[in-house]
Amino acid sequence: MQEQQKKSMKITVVRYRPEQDDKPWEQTFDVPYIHETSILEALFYIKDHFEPSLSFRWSCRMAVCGSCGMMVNGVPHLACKTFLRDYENKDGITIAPLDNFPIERDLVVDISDLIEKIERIKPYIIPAEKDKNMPLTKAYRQTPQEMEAYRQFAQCINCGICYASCPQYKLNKNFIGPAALTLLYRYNIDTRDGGTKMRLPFLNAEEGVWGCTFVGYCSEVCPKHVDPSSAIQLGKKMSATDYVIKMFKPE
Amino acid sequence: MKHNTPEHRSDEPIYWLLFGAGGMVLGMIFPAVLILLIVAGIMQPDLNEGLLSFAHVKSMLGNWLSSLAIFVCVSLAAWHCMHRIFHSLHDLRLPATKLAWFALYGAAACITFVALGLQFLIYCKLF
Repeated sequence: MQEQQKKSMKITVVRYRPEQDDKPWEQTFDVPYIHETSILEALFYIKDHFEPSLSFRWSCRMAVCGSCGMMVNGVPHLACKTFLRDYENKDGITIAPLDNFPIERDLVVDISDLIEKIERIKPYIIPAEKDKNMPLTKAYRQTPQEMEAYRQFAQCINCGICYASCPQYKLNKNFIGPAALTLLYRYNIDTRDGGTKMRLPFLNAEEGVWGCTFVGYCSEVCPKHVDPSSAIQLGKKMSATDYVIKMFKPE
Repeated sequence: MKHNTPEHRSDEPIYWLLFGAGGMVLGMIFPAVLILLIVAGIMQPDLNEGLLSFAHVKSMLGNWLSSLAIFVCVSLAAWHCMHRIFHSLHDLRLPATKLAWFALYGAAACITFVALGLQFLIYCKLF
């Protein structure tokens, strides 16, 4: 293997230890790196060589699990999918816990609000009344076109990066938020699903799609290119259509 | 769980649909009209006669179809702008109060009714 030139970068990490610190503070380390070093690997290096008490979440190291979301120079990123080489011309890197969530310890945030909201919108296929007694041996048929309609929105890994980027969620924590609204829309347009009626009230509320003002930053930062803001605009169309229908056809 | 009862239904679809329709008018129809006006102005700079003369423009409002089209475009554009301003207040962290809501959407409603009234007067040759 070719010997790579040893370089190092100044990495500032926001620390917070609830039993010792009144408020978060910053600690700076000099971390050697090569072309392939990710932010997550830099954090491993810091933990192994300088500061064993540093806490951060991680699991898969390949942008699948959605555990390592954090702010890198103020922009939310997955640490495993962000590389030191892309920050060479900047004055070091500052790593902070995800915005808009309470800090638990160092880079670990409390995402229970995100989890509760995703649970709230029932993100799973609810069989329609006609399919209720379908035998387990039979499959739900779906055309490639029907699948393509929601495929992009099904790529969400619940990392919370869109919530850290959302100015509406920052202002109002009752807003259901990008990921949950995207999943809501994704299951509503799934042809195998019959739970639209149960999910619509969450979509139609002020805290649902109507809390979004289409800033679009969530789509810019999403590491899986889910494009939540597009799903929310389509959700607005769905909600408005339902609103007009209900005007003429009350239940 | 505390959130099992869904929130109240929002009335936002009414304003959002008007906003969307107004966006189409402002994005597609107004630029086309603007180009037509510029071309007409260059071809006939004298505003006393030709396409842009007062008599010609007034006679356009005398036709019910063109009058209706102008009314729809003007009022939808007003709803679009007021909706955008109201939501920008919120984005800029200015107080998006009920008063601002009434003032802005009230202005859109006023523009709608004034346009309707004026065009009706012209159509009936009362003005």
